[in-house]
Order: sequence, then structure tokens, then C-alpha cells
Amino acid sequence: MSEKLLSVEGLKVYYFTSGGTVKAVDKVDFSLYRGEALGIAGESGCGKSTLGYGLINLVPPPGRIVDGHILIDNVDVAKLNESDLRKKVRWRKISMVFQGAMNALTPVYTIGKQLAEPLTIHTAISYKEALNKVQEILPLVGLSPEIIRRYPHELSGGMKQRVMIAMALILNPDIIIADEPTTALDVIVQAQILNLLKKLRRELGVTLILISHDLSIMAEVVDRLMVMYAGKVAELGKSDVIFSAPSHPYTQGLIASIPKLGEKKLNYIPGLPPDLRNPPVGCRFADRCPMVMDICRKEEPPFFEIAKEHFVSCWLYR
Amino acid sequence: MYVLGWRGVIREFMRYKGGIFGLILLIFLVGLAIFAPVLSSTDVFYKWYEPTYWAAQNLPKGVPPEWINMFGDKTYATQAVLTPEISQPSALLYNITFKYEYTADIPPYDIIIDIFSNITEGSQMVIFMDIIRPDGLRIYRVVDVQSDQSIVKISLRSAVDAPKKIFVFGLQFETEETRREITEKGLLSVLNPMDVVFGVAEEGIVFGRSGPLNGEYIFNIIVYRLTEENTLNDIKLTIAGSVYGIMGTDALGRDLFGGIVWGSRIALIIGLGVAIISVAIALVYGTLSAYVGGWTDEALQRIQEFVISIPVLPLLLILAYVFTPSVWNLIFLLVIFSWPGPVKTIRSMALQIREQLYITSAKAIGLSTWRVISRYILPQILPYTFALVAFSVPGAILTEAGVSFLLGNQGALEVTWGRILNDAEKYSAVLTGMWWWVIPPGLMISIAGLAFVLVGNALDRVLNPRLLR
Repeated sequence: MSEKLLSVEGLKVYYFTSGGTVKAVDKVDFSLYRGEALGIAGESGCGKSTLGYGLINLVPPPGRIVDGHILIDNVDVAKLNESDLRKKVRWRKISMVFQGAMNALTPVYTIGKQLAEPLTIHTAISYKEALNKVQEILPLVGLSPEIIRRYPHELSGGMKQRVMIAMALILNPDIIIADEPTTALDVIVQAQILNLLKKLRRELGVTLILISHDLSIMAEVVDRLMVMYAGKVAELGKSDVIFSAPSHPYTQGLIASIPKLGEKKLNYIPGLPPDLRNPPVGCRFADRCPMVMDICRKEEPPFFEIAKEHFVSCWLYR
Repeated sequence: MYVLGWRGVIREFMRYKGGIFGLILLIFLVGLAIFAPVLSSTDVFYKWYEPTYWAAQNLPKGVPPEWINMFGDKTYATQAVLTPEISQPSALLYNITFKYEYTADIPPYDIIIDIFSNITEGSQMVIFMDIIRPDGLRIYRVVDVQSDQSIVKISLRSAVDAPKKIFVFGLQFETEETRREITEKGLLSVLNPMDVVFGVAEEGIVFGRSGPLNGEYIFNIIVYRLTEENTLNDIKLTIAGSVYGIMGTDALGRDLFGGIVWGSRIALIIGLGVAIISVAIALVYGTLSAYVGGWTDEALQRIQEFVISIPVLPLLLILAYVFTPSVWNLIFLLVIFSWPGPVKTIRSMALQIREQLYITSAKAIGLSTWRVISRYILPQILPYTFALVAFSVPGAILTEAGVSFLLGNQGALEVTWGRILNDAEKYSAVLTGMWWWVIPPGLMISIAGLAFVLVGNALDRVLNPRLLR
């Protein structure tokens, strides 16, 4: 394994709502190595986007990081103050492609101005030089440099997503988090964006965290896959291993529910995820698990390393 | 707005008839305000509350505008300054004649003589005047004064003995019975000497019932000086009209047109000044409140609600009374009470924008809070604040008019529409039927309010994103 870029230890991100504390991310551990692509998968509300925001310590209120460490270069992002986060971490170390690129650009400025913004505030270069750099980087994401004079409403969804990717690349950060980069795009544009991400990895060696609920996308792009369920990591390992032989019953259910050609019946996992304000004792998947045992309802399963670098949080592998 | 561009905004705006009408009214008001020094004189503005200035103008008091001659079957005499014919029959004597062609039905308001001389101290001049009427009758010694002043002003209407002499002339045409009745009831003080001067010499002349005597009137003035050093520099005879100007005069002889014209400037300065400053304050306040959120938001909102719930008018009256209600003081006081108005609207817009993904994105890029507010939130709200400014103007103008109407000038020098109405109220203009003193300023206040409401409505439709199709 190559150099470790990021390591997350016991991360807890809670939302403090009037209805109770929502434990959106609860004791999550994982590491990220230079040059790899890590996928974070799971159904809606499992905490994958919150985890993404947590990594740059930008969880929207009323949420915040309660506990745990996010170590980048031996600096704990979870403990940094706002001004250090702004100056040292956000966009310099970790940038993000947001879910829903349609709304991630402000309607009042041109694309060029918005793309130049990170450069002008993080580096000492002038706006004009920044614009030149922007024009250099645009062909990399498959956009014409002329686009800098356009306003967001003049672009298509796919173009906006490319702009967002260009913006994430512009400071040459160590890590790029792509949060559902293909949601709300049609299939053809989805494919183009995925190819773009793959090309960027191949050509620039970008370290990528891809957050998505769509396992077929994951299979295309990522090296390692982390499956989350109800704020916890269910399974973490090489993606080809997980896809060919999923170990956690939840992962098995997920992969079985990918629709296949020729199959009339759609598979699904019965039941609903637990209420994260009041998660059950023991395994959080117990209520929906076809292989549930007594211990699952009593004790939380630890991580079992069933193969090298393959972790499963399930009592079946005790 | 960014989607439309400036041209688009103008094109959209032109689709609303009300907006165009409002814009026309606004252009009219702005024109009045800009060209006030041309349309009227700057003295009117600075000396509105100086009685000596207005006395020197020789304007009639409380007369309607000239254009009423176009309506009704009787014509009113208009303002005229006559040119003298001066002769010097002997070294110490000036003989001056003025000729006046009287063609109206309603006699002039007054006849005023202005004499400018360089009379030396301790010396005197004696001034006589006879009026020779078109029917050949002569009113002798209407003026008969001695003066040691270098500037002499004699008004036939308000001089001590001139009206008496005129009535003596008039009463000779009345019956014995009428004469007795007039002396018994002391009616002379309510009768108009001008009716006698310009009336047909027959019964009813003192009551103005004998009808107008049209033709050429000659005012013959003799100025007798004691020494040759006392030269007569200038002499002027003004026929004060029974109608005056575009908007008539008030009971103090002030040209109401001048007041209305200058009032538009003050109304616009106060209206726009208060609106722009309050909206600017509200913009920063509301945005900050929404963006920072939490307890700061709570506290700022409670403060705003407290200020907005203060009954403004009584407090303004007291404050304006304590401080001089000059234009700048009024703007300051009005801003104190009107900034909370747009805060809720701006806060709600900022709350919406705050939740947008591009704000999160901006934060993730590493922008500071101030930069996020100034570059990502304010520019979005800014277009709509134009509509808010337009909406805030009428309130400011109306409040100013209200305060001025109730308080008067209180030592302030500027004339405003509200203060014209205050004077009208003081001199019971409504009860004495001086509509030209009440309707124009009232109408102007309404027009100013209406113009901004119409423009604001149209701007609101164009710029408010929720109503944009």
C-alpha cells in the first residue's frame, strides 16, 4: 500500500435537532491512500454525505463533529478552528464536488470568476493570472476555455458538473470528495462524467472519495468500497472482492437488488432503516437481516478482518 | 435581474402600464426638483419664512391663481408694475404719473407705491397722490404723508388714512340712509376700498355693487423735497392682482407656486434619502441576522420588532420639536424609525439564499464569512432592494408631511408641502375657501406617494424572483 493520506478514527457527527440527537455518523474508522479511489455507498440517510461534509468540517448546523479524529498530515481537521480550516484545509487539502451541481454555482457571477475564486483567495496570484489558469484547466474536464464568460444558467447540467469538477481540481488538492456527482444527470451525461473522473485519475493520479448510492457507478470507478448502514460502516474492502463476493448481509442485499437484464422480479431488502435518533442496541441492521442471531440484538458487532484489508462488521464472521 | 440584464429589466418594466405612469409622474417630480431655481427663485426657498422678504415682493394676499380667469364669466385684475412718467416742474418738486388700463371685472387686490430716495438725516419728503378715474372724477390726496425714510412703501389698502379717504369719496354716491347705517354698524372695516376706486360712481359703490368702471386710471404723485440733496432714485407703482401666478398666494402674500416647486425638492431628498439609507441599513442588518443565525438572529430580530412597534408619529413630533426640524435632522430621525421596515423581507430572502448549495460551496472553497455575505448573498438581494427603496419612499414623504403639518417649521428654514399645509391650517384656508392653498400641496404629496408606489409595484414584479415568470 502506498502512503496514507487521510485517516479517520472514531468519527461521530451528530445533528442536534429539537426532536432529538440524530447520530448520522457514529464511530466511523477508515483510511485513504494516495492515488486510490474510495467509494462510500449506502442508501439515503445512511450518513454518507454527512461523512463527506465532516471530512472538511463543514457539517451544516445543527450538525457538528462530536468526537473522533480526521488526520491529514498529522493535523486533526476535527479540532481545527474555522480560520485554520479555511486557510489550510478546505480546497487546499480536500476539495469537494457537491451533490446537485445545478445549484452549486451562484447565478450572479460568470463561470470564470467563480473558478478563479479559490485561486485568488488561496494563492497570491492576481485575478487575471487566475483566469489564465482557469482557461488552462477547462480543457482537462472537456470544456472550452471560452466558457469563462458564461453564466451558470447558460450551461447544461453536464457542463455545470464539469465546471464543479474543474473547480475541485483547481488548487491541486490531495483529496477530492465527489458527492453523488452523477445524480440528476441523464444516463449519457452520467457516463461522460464517470469517464472524466476515470481519466482524471489515470492522468493526474487524483485521490478520490466517491459518495454514491448507485453501486453500478462504484463498480466502474472505485478501488475500494465502504458500505455504510445507519451511520456505521458495514463492510470495507477491495471493490472487486465485495462485488463478486459480498460478506455483510446488507451488502449482499444491496448487490442482489441491482436490477439485471432479463430478470422480471426486482429484489429488495424488506423493512426500513432504524431511527437514528434512537438506534437499536446491537447491530443496526438486525431487524432487516435475513441471518439475524440472538447476539446481533444484544451486542454491537466489531470489525472482523476476514481477509487482508477486508473488514466486515457482522457477527457471522466471529 | 442577472438573468434579464439591464435592458431586459427595462423591457419587462415597460410592460406594466402602472409602472410607466408612475415613471412619468416621477420624471415630472424630478424635473420640478431639478429646475426649481429656474421655475422659481432661490430666495423663495431660503426666505420663505421671512416676512420682510415677502412684504418687499408686493404680492397680493390670499388670492387665487391667474388661470381661474379662463373659467367663469368675471375676469380678475392681474398683477402689474406700472412705469412712471416723471417731470420736475420746479427744483424741489417731482411730478410723477402712472397710467393703468383697467379692463377686469374684479378690482385689483391693492395699489402699492415704493419710493427709493437718498434722503439725508433730519430731512423730510412730502408725498401726495391723487387718483383720476376714467369718468373724470378725482380722489384727492389719497396719499398725504411726510417721511424721513429712504425707502417708503405705501399700500393703499393697509395704510392708515388712505382707505378712509377713498370711502369718503365713495360715500357721497350713497343715500343718507346707507351712510348712517355704515357709520352706525362700523361696516367700513370690512369693506374693500378697491371696490370704490374701481367702481362705477353710483349707489352701491362702497359695497362693490355698482359694477366695474373700466378705462384708464391715472395715479398722480407729487413728491416734494426740502433740499436739493434729497434726490428721488426710483419710484414704482404696483397693482397687486386679485389673482396671482400659477398657484395663487397665501394669506401672507407668498407665491405658492414657489413653495410647491421647492417643496418637491425637499420631498424627494427626504423621501429618497430616508428610503435609501434605511434600506441599506436593513440590507446589512437583515442579511447578517439571517446568515449568522442562532442567538444573534434572535437578538437582532427582537430589537427590530421593538423598534418597529414604537408609535412613530408622537415620538417624531417631540424629537422634531426638540431638535430643529431641518431637512437633515428630519432624515436622521425618520431613518431611526424606518430602517426596521424592510428587515424581515431581506432576512427571509437571505435565509433562503443561505441554504443554497453555492453558499456551502463558497464556504468549502474557504471564503470568509464577510466575503460570503458580500459576494454571494448581497448581490442576490440587491436588485430587489430597488423595489424596497421605491416602496419605502412614500412612507417617508407622508411621515415628513405629517410631522411638518402638525408641527410647522419650528425654526427650520426650508419650505415643505407639509409646512404649507400647516400654514393653511393656521390661517383657516379651508374655512375661508382658499382651496389653492390646500389642494396643490395635498395633491403633490399624493402624486409623490403614488409615483413611487407605482414604480415600486412594477419593479417588484420585474425583480421579485417569486413573481418572475
